[in-house]
Amino acid sequence: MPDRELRPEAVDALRDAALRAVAGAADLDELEHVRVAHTGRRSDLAGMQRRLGSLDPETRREIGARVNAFRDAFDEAFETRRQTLAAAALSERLEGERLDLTMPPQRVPPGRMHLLTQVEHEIVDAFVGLGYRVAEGPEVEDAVFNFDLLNIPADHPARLEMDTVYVDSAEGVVLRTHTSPVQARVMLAERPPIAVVVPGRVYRNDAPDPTHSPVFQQVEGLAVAAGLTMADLRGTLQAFARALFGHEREVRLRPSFFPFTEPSAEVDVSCGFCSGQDPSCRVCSGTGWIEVLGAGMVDPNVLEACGLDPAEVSGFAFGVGIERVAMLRHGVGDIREFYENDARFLERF
Amino acid sequence: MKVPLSWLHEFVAVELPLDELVELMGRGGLEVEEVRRPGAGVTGVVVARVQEVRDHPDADRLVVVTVEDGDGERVVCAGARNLAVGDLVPLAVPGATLPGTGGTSITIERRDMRGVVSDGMLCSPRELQVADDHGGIMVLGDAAAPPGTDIHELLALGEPVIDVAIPADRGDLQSILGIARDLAAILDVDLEKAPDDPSPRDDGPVQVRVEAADGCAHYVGWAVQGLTVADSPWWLRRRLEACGVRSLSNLVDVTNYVMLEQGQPLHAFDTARLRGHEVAVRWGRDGERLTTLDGRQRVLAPDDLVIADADRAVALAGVMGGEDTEVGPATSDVLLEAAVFDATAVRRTSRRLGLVSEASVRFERGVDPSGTWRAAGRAVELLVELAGGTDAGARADGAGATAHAPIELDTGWAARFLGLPELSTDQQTELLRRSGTEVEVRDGGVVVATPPSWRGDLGRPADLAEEVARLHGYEGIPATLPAVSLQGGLTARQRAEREVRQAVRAAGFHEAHTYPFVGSDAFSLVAADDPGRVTLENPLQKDAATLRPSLAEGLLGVARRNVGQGRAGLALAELGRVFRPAGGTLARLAGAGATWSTRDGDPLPAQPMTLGLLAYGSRSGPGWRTPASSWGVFDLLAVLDEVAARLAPDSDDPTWRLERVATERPGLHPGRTAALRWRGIDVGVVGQLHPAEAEARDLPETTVLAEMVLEPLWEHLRAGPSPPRAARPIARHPAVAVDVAVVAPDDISYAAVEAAVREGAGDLLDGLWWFDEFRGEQLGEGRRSLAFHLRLQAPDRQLTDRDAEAVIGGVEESVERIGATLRR
Repeated sequence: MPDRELRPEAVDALRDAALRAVAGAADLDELEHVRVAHTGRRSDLAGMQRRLGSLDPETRREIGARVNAFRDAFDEAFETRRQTLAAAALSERLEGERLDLTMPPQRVPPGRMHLLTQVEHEIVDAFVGLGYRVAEGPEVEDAVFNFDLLNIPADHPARLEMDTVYVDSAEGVVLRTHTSPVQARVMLAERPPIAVVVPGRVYRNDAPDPTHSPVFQQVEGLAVAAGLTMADLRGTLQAFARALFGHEREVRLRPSFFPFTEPSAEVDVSCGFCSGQDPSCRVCSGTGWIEVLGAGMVDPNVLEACGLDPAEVSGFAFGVGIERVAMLRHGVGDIREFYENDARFLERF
Repeated sequence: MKVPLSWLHEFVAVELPLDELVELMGRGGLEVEEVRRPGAGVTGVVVARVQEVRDHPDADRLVVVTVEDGDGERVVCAGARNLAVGDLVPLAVPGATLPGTGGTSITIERRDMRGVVSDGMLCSPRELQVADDHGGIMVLGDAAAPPGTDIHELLALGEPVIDVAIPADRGDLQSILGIARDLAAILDVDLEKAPDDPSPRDDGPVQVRVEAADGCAHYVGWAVQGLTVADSPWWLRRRLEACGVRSLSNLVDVTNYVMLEQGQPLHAFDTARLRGHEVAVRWGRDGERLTTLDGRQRVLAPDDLVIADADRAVALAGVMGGEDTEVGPATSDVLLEAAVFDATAVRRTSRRLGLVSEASVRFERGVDPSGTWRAAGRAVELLVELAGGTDAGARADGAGATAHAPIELDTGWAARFLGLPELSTDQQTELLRRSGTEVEVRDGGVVVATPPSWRGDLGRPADLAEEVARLHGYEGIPATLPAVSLQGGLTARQRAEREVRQAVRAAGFHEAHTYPFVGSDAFSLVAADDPGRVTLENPLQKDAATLRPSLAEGLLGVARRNVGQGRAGLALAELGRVFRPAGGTLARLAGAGATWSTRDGDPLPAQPMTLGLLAYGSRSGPGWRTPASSWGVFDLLAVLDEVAARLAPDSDDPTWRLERVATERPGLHPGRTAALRWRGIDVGVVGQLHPAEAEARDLPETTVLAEMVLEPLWEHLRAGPSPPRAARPIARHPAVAVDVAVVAPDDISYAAVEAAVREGAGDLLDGLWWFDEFRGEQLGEGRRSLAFHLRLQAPDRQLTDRDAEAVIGGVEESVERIGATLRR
């Protein structure tokens, strides 16, 4: 006896119910429930298929075809619905993951190199580019190197005016008042040609005020070779001034006196802040020139004291104050700021 | 040296505008520091004659003065009583202006002064900026112009006074004459007038004798008799005051005037108070006493140069005169001294007694050894003119000036040396002659030059080359680069120093530069067993007389400053030298590369480069801050490990890594302090500040600091850079991951556990990460579990489960050997 339930209309009814359920599924989980309920092993459809064998061939064929069509239609509807729901689910998730990218990143930024170190490196690198090496020497120094070998004998006014800090319990040991003693150390240790720069700390017995500091930093330069001239000194300083202050800069030498150079010069760099055009320029006061360093040809007495023959070699030397360059370039108004290390100052540069 | 322009003009004619003159002086080596114009801004002040002086009816301190100002009579009130009928005085009429302080200006008006209308104001010297004197009305003297004459016709008010900086080697510039001479050479013009140089004489009433020949080259004693001590005329007072010298009396003023004019210090003895009609220059006697002009009794030493009469020392030669023979209002006869005293002797006495005078400054820098007669003669001339004295004769003694040795100069050399090869022998000769040097031209471009007596700075060819360059103009020297070609650059060690700075920066540490002067009890970290300190003889501050033995104190100071400024957190680094005496532990750490000796070979104090780190508070960055993230002691270790790795020849080689050894230090947290050991030596310390120390210093409790001497770590780089690193083949087979947990008693350090795990894992271990530290009841008291993630890999084959099992077995055996167990 034919199964009353196994009629083509019944398949259609199942199909319609299943497709309605697919269309009505609200999310992927519900859709999966629909799939299991309507096409799973325990679904009415599965039951119907299991009973197909009991039908006559013709009916079986007809119902089988309808069942297959049901499955095809269901799969298509399911896949379409799944994609729709998946897309909706993804965009909902992404919406929930929205970040406000205008918030600052929680990073610890790299620290800053102290402005004095930055300027020191810049000066040193300018001379390294000209073929100079970097020499070092002690900050607690023998007065013989700091003074005597540099043509500054014990009762020389220049020595007495230097405001030297002396080390206790060690005769003739001082805090070096300039980086020049390294000149003597280098000349005693090496044969010309010599070209060195010496960066480092120097000390004076000066109470701190806006323009004085008991500790400050210099870069000393020394070149010794056969036939070096004062024009070489000027050219070297011009190259330096342009490296540090800009390509348009000129240098001006004015006669001066240092015990360890002869001739000696104060060296001015043309003002790049106002080009001499502004009478109220805070850097050059309208003169158009900024006093930047002292220089000169190495005094023959110094060469001789360091074992070199002034008849065979000549040399030039110069000393740049790092604080002064930094103050000029960056508008630092008070030298003490370099040594106070307020974080706001450190972070600025 | 302050130079009133009119005085300069007496010796050299310069028609240039002032700013051009100043510019030219600077280019010639006469650096102008400042130009002042005392009295500039005075207008409407005329000469007036005092007609009547009477008391103010209603004010004790005022007088009512009737003056005649050329147009008629005026009545003015004055606050000084130094006026007499007939005196000529400066009158500021209503509408006149006077310079005030700090560039301001005062306008004079008719004013009612307690019932009397004052129709103008009589001026004091200070009000006209003629002198500092404010004690009374300026009385112009008989020679003044008729009433009504503008005061500017009488006094050069507003005249520029040029302040010139004198280089230490140019004693000859310490006078108007000296500057005029140099300016004439710079401008290539002749001196207007050369001062007279009187012939030596031997007719004075006072004998002079130089006993200390090495202290005095020449001594002139010139007598003037019958003079009258009085005030100096205004033209002279104004010049002295413009040069910063106070006017005292015509007699003293003349000695100062000539000193300013010619650079030769002069001294006047009251002849009546000299004993025995003789003076001698001799060395002081031990215990000898002398009361100087400033009223202080000085005890002399055998190396003080003195002037003595027949009985006693009467002056400190070149420094200051004595009270006993001082001239005064009643003096009528004087002995003028013009001498050349030894610079060193004067300096010694001046320093020892802390006594610096206009004279001592000039002697220290050197006076013209041929200038004594000239200066004394000029002073006598002025005393005759201004004080009515008569020339009573002079005597002199001393070896006299040693003539300048002629200097042979190869002008070809000089031209090359200066970079001015076209500068001919003739040109150089001409330049040298400009400054008074006698030049004799020889063959082959050689000249023989004899500088003038006053140019003590010219003694060698290089000095003459400078003189040539200076007068030729430094601006004429071209700019060339040396023809020498050299290989420059940083050494491996110097590059390493930059690497260190970079590593520190990358971790977020700002670099600080601190003063190295600390107290004797300063916080110190490195080389704790080296108690030596380098102390200063003349420190800036008594409580900071030690050179920093450690960077810690400086960094703590910076931290305090920033905490005080409300900074929530900060990480700081300083790279600098620390100081201890030679021979201690720090000196051994410094090693040969950072040890220097005196010229005699004695070691200088140890001063190795050292890295100091400090951090406190929030690790915030720009725009954010969270209490959850703050600096800690591990952040410092991270930096130090990175520094050690960058300095090591092979950063993978564990023998170049920093080991931590738990330690205790005063001021540091006992459970959070470690010594840093590197290849068997203690190179530094890392730790957290002890809470008590933090509180005492008003710093956050979580302040951490570290210090490490860098010299040992980069010593090997002094020989040159490390060999380049070789590439390593990348294993292509997949890695196998294994997690192990080790249970160990607390007294076994993490480092020991990790080492045991590494050893047990053997060659297959490619990477190790700890990921958990756990304590709990199930482990038992005093024990912890440390969990590691191991990555295993072989370069040549795929690893299997059996390999992993073998590694775990190896780890188990290894950790058991140190007293730990593998947690299964």
